[in-house]
Amino acid sequence: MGKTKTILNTIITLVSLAIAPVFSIQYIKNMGITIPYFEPNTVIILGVVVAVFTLIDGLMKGGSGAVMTLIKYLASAYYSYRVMNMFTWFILSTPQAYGELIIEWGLWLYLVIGLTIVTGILQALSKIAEKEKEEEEEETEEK
Amino acid sequence: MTILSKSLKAIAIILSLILTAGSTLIAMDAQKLAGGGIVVSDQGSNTTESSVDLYLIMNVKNTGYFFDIYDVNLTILIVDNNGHIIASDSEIVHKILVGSSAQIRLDVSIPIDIATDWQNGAIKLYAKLYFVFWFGKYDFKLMKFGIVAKSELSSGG
Repeated sequence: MGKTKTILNTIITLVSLAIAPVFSIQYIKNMGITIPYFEPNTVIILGVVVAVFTLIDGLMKGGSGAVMTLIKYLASAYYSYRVMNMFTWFILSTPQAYGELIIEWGLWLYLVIGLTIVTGILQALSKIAEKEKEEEEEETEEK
Repeated sequence: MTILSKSLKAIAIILSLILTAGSTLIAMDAQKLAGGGIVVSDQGSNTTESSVDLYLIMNVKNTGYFFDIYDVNLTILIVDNNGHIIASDSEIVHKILVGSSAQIRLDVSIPIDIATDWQNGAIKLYAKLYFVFWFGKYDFKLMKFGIVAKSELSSGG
């Protein structure tokens, strides 16, 4: 992966996982909707951690790169687990209306986590396969 | 990049796309349901010697694109200023497939002494409506939503 692509991916991850959720919650809070379980500090820390793993993963190749890819996806799965469990209770309270929305993520949460981990394993295997192919090519050239 | 590497990446991308498509579909179905899927088709009251009976008929239509709705539970609570439950009723519909609808009727009975106080303006009564359901497909329940709405009952007095 090129360095530019890696930096771009890191910025996108940072914005979408750490910055955008916090600002979105602030925006909907102004509309009278509160999310009691939302923890902005946790979201920022976990978002930054996933972004850092994205950066390291992009810079590393071969076996260690594959391990990094897997760690990045595991971190991403943990992020999904923590953040989805924060978005389970919404309260709309204005002088005119009162309402609550409760979400239980159920099977969907496990589907998201499961697919994220499987994707991570596949991406890591793909990195190892790339490395093996490169080594084979190098050996052929030496002969 | 080898064929194996390409294939693994392709599968990973397809899995990510499935997740994104699923999330989008759930959001779209939830929005459609909230937008016009739940309608109060009739409501009214009847006063007897011992109570004031209220009824509420709701029409729940699965206006979504993909997901079926399971275990729809509609509950009404009549509470006073202090949060004491005066009356309640609950109904369950087990399955509403995409495009189909169900009618749910809720009946509550307010004792006459409380109803008199309410109509005189001595106390306020609130209706708290709980609407709980699962989004799913092929009998797999994926995600549960619960909506609670509270409104003051107008005594008309």
